[in-house]
Amino acid sequence: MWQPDVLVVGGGPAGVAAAVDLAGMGLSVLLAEQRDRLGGAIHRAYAGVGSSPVKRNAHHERRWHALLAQVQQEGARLRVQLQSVFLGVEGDGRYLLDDRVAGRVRPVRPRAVVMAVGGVERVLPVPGWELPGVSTVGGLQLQLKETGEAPLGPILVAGSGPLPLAYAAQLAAAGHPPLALLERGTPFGTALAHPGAAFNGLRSWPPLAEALGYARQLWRSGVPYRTGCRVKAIEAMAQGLRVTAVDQRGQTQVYEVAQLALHDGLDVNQTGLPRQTAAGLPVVWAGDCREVLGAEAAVQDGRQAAQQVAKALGQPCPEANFDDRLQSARRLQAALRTLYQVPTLDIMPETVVCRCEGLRASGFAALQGAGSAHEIRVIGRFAMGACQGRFCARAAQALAAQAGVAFEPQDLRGSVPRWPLRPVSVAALAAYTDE
Amino acid sequence: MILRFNRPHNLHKCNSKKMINDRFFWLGHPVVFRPGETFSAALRRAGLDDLGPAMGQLRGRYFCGIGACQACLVSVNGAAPVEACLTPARAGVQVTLAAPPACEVHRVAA
Repeated sequence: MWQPDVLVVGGGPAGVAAAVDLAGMGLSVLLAEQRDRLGGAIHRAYAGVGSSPVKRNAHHERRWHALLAQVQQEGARLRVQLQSVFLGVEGDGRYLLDDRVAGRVRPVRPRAVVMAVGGVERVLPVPGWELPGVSTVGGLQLQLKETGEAPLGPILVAGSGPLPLAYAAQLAAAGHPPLALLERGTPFGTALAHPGAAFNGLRSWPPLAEALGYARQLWRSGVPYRTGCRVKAIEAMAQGLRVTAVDQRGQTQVYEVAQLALHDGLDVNQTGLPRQTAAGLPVVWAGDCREVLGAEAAVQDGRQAAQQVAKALGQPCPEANFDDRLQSARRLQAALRTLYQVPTLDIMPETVVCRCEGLRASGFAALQGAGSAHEIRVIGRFAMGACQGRFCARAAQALAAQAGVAFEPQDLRGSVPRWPLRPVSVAALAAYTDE
Repeated sequence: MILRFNRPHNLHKCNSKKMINDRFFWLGHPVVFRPGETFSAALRRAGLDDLGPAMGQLRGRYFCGIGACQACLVSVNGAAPVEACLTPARAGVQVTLAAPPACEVHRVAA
């Protein structure tokens, strides 16, 4: 079986940029992507006929289409394997991909690996966030891109950061404005209190222009943008959801909706990734899974990863310095973190913490004997569900800290990756061949 | 103040109805889809947000859209679980929730 020099996992901007550069340096590359098209969440392709009715950032689109054209140009040196999910690494360095088209697990024995699986959204647990009809903003946004259709029924967008603003504006532009956009932070007040951060934000003109465009769209569509306002509780009704929100003065407002979109920022996504320090085989993480810097920087980070891999394999490559561009993305992200700083959330006892197995915050009371991340995992089952702690680790860490047990969120997942990372059928494993 | 469903909603603005004619079956009921979209996109368009009983007294549902949360696992023609949010819809197949409701969490007493 054909074996590539480099395996790149993830077909978003970072993975595609890395793959294109590596192939351009003369290395053979296998690019594995879990979806049926390249693009990642940011460049999710429109599945309809003709052009997408959803307006996108023109600059990002141009750059992405240029990258796709390069994938075509590389020909046989760069193979793209779609609908293939990274499962884990066997002891002897075989990378296992679940090829869901062929219905079998394929081993890859690369000389180096780039992991570019993208970031994951942070959503803070509030009572009822586990109900059907509650989704992440990013999850709903990529379906809007894919189908060109807004979700059914009235929708509320809540949380914090630039993404809810973008999604609310895109909904409004699609003729389906949300009832309101609730922002937990107070970005305007914070900008006055932290002029330095505001200045750094203003220095990055393209994203600022984009944000102003979104704000204008919301204003034109009459969507209220309520800052300092958070979702307190979500209840299921006979039809739809009843969402109770509270503002800084403690005043509550109730929204009856069919859909609630939540988002509290973006996180790195390193659950189950092979370590970058793996002996012998060079492994480089790139893009938002390594550090959340956005799509533009992900391309630069992917190119930097390609350079690191080439050097590790002794392959001649053009010298390029990506530090400046990554640093400017870092500055913008830091400014955004300051502007969108939010008060910490008290987790109510009845709140579901683990979305996989329905474990509630009150379950922590039964864990008084647990004195470490390991014990909270093994005894309490937090982070043991199918998502491997991606959506509960932060909350579990905060609850443990209140009980006087200190650790980092990633400690809850343990030091040994839990492979296979995704469900895989016994039939696909049985069809495994090493030829 | 309580806001009712009184805002005019302009659903299905695009001429999607003309293009949709393929269908799969969710618990035996036909669900239309457009080639190239996922099972979850079609299920959500059909108003099927609640996918049925899942682990820990929760419900199967769409959440993250990128295969990370594993809340939308479905079985296609009785096969092993796949994420509805990642899997392209196919015509004629039978789709059910894959999370076993009977499989409750067993916790060791602390």
